[in-house]
Amino acid sequence: MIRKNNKKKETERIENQKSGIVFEQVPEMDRKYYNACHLCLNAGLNATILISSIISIMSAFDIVYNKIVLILTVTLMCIMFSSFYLKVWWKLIGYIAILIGFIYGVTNYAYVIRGGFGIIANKFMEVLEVRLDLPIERRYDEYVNNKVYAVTLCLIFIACSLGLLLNIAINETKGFIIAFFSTFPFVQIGMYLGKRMDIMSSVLYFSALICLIILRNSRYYKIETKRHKGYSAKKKKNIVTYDYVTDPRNSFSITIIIIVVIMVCSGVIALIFPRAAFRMDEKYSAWKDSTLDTAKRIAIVGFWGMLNPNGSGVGGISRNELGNVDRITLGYEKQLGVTTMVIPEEEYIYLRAYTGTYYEDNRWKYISESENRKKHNLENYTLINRPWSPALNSKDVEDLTNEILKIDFEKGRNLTDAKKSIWVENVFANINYTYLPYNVSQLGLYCKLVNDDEYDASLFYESEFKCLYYHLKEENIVKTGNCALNNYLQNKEEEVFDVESAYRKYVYDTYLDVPEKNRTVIMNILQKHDIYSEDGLYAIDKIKNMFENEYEYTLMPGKTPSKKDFVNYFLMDSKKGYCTYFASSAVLMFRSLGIPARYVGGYMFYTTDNDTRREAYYRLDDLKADGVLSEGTPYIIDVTDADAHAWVEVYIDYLGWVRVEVTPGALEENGEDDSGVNQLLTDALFNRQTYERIKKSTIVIILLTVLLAMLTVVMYIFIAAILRYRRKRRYDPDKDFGYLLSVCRVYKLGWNSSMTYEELAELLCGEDLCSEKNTKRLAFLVEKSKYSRNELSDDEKKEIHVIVTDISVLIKKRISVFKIVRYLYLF
Amino acid sequence: MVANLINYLLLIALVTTGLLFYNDYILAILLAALIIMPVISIVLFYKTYKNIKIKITDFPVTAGRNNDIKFKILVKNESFYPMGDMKIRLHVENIFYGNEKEYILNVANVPFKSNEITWKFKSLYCGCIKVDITEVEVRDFLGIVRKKYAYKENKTMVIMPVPKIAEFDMQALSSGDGDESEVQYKKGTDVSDISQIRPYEPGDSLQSVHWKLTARYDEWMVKEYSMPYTNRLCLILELYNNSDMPDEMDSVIEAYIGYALFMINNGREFYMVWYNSESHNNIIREIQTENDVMLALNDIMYVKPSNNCMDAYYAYKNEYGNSDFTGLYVTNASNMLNLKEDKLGIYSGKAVIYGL
Repeated sequence: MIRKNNKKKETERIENQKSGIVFEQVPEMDRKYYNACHLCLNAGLNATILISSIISIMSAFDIVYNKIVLILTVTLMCIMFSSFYLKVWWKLIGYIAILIGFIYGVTNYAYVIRGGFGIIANKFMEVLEVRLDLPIERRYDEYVNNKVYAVTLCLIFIACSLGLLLNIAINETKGFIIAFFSTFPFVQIGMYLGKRMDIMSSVLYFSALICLIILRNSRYYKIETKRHKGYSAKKKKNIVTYDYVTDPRNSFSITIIIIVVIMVCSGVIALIFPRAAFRMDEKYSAWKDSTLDTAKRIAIVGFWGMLNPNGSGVGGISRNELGNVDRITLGYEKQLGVTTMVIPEEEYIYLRAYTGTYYEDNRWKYISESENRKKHNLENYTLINRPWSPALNSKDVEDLTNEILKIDFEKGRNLTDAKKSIWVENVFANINYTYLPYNVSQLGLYCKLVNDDEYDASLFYESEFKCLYYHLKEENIVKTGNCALNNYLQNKEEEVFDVESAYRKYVYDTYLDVPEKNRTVIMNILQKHDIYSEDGLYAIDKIKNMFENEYEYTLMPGKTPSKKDFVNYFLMDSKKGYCTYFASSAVLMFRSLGIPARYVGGYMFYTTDNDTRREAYYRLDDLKADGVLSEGTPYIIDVTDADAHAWVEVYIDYLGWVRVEVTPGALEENGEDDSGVNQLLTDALFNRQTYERIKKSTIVIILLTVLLAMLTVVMYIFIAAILRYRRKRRYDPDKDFGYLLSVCRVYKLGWNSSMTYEELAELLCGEDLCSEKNTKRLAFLVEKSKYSRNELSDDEKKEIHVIVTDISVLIKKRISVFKIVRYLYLF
Repeated sequence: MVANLINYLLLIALVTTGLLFYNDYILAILLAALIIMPVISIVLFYKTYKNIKIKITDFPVTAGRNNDIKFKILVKNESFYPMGDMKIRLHVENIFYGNEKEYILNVANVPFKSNEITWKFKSLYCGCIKVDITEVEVRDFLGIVRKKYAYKENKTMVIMPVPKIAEFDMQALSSGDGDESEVQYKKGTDVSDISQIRPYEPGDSLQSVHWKLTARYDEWMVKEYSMPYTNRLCLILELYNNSDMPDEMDSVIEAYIGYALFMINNGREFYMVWYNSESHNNIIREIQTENDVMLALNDIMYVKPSNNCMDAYYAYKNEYGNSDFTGLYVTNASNMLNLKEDKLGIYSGKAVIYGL
């Protein structure tokens, strides 16, 4: 770089000598630096394009967000981005600050941003589904807590990312093409789909693009980045061109004028000609319709993953319509973090999220959601002989059961083998559900039962709660027809029976409901398999066996046809499905047999899976239950969306709600469907094994890249050395003469730059360093190289080189080695 | 310009297609704006582009060689129309040497405002510098239309050499080997004639010592040459532009002026003669004062040098060879070998003066 600059200066000096006209400094234009104008212009264009395009798109799709916050944030960010071009060092600091801000935002608000994106994407796809007649079934997770906040944050994130790119394009080149292609494809979707876009924001968007074109055409952008210098100079064919920075006030005023004029005209036209009156000839609409088919084909080919014919759903808990997806895709994303003492007997843990009481329209609904059955709200039931607490709920019954279990744990240990504490942290699960284990003895205050099947809960992200629960020895209490509890119950006071009997009545009134359309099918199925109500609780086993033998567990059961009932279709036609299918069908079948049952959704995970657990000895104090630490090992277990599960609860008289697992293979570890296709599917997903494979191949790629870079550097050095060697072989008269002068200086010849070259020649001749003829020739050739308009020929250059070399050799023989080294090579 | 026009047309085509396709109100407004804007722009442009004024101001009349020279170019848009950037082609030439440089300035055009560009340069060689604005190109603010036209605005100035009074030893021609017969008082026209022999006085040149007589008389005796008594002394300038040694001509002119000033300072009137290669004739000026020297120099700067190294010599010989003029011929040192005349002095190694 230094050598290049020196060579440039030397070339300039020689040219000046030849032409005789020397411009020692660039012609100066009298101007001031209007940094504020540059800043406002570039930031304004950037912010206008971003904000107007976002408002246009969002208005077309009726997505709600906080406009004012978006406008303010994006404007401030654009001003900050544009300020990078004020000073060089500020650019570096600014980008570092953005990186830190980005990392902070992503680590703390990733779930909100992603949730917001899910809301926007789902909305887009809803519209596309209708317009293109494509069953786009992929749904993204939405942030349910505050949708406006999530969407606004997501839009700010997108705007700032895009704004950074546009900032470079606008500041450096007034890049219309980049601005256009990064925003117009999204703006035009609304127009293409015939949505009503906000006209003023759309006009503002196009006005900003027109301003960009004009500024670029007027060459305003040309030396925007050199505005501190004020000019840029370039030379072509001996003509030097000086580009002076345009006065930004001019461009700023042009921009404002254009935007204002177009906006005012648009406003006037919009008032005079209402939009409804604008209608093009119908034949143009036919052209557009004919492209829909092409667009559809492109969408299918280009977005196959989202547009598989019947769509797919994601793993995790949801209370959406059942059977509306083709398959389930497991993301293995962490939803909860569970910390507990794992005892050898407890291979798996169930955490209840919500229960479903009424099956309507292919969905499980709460009592409060069912219009027809609100009469079954608990408040309508009172407890006889307990006027001081007339309302009862299943929690009272739970408390009753826990009372029994408590006694058993303290004295007998016939039913229970451990009282444990469990901590549940919400990582990315729905905050409005409960995540309670069974047989809870002591619960925190984060959730409150508001109806028999409904909790009012709010477990925010990164919050955790603790509860104590009993682990029962015999999970399948239903098997025992005469359970040992009877012994305890008989010794209890009548009050207990009163509570339970009143609640039991409520249960039998509420939880035996089977929709009309399902009754016939279910009865037929039960009769076919000789399952009758007289079988009592043994019918449960029969139904489980039926599922085991005749129904297939799969994550890809296919979508339920739109006009068919979910349960009926499963039982009669498809005979394959996952836990939701089995649980829903089982609930209705149990109810048909007179066994009160309800649908439960939540998580079921294994405590023995080494891939998902890690030791947590630092939390031993937290894991004590009533000051006592149960046996076992403390673990933190990652509960993922793949652990989401559905099962059944049946009501056992005198006992309460008891869990029943009806999904075949659920209680076997990794008992998911491992059929070939599903295995292929799960293998293709991003699971831990895939991650390890990707990590290894990434390391290999990085090593190869580093090797390649090193090889490139070595080759560069080698080629540069060759070129340098070849350059040395070319004759350079200026260099040769310069060398001669430095040698003469060491020799103290007595020549200085105010003397002529002829005088130098005379001095050299006088010292017998060269013949008179050669010295005169040397002086002539050196003068010619310095002043002549003609280039020296190669022979002349060689002549200089030879003469200089001869003289230098002679001089070096006459001076000491010490002087040569000191003056020529060191200083 | 073509690229800008294509861009603009593509934009209109895109919006038109979009209008047919998307059937949207917004695009109709946009299309109307895109069509109207260039029409207004072109009409206003052609009405107002002539209102751009460019002037060269603060341009000096003379300056010394290697002195800083400053001048300004003023660009003013007297119209209300904001044009795109304007290109000004500037030609800077040393008419004397034929050296030239070309520059292009891109400046903004703000309505009712002026831009002032200050130039600072220096000339390494003397001569006549001409700064000429030859061409101007203006553009409309959309960049679609361009107008290029010739512009006549130029200024000239003279770059004077650095005058140093140059002495030349007219006595140096003789070796001083003559004997007593040379002792005669003679006033003649030949500069080399000895007019008298006299005793040495401090300050006499050793070259003028008459060694034989000194040895005879045991006293330092010096020769005194007769001064030319005629007024018709010509100082002839060879204006030869050696392309291999451009700075040589400067030295010749400086020597020429230096000698002229030397003679003026010694009270000697003379004529300055130079050859005009364009009109093919000698130009002669009578010089009585220093001011006459400067005026003559000013005229010389406007003469175009010749490409032949002895044009002035032969022209003088043809016209004044048989006259009673005594010529002092100043030429470049590399011409030395072509002449057999008597050399009177060497100036800075590049210029030589001969007695004709």
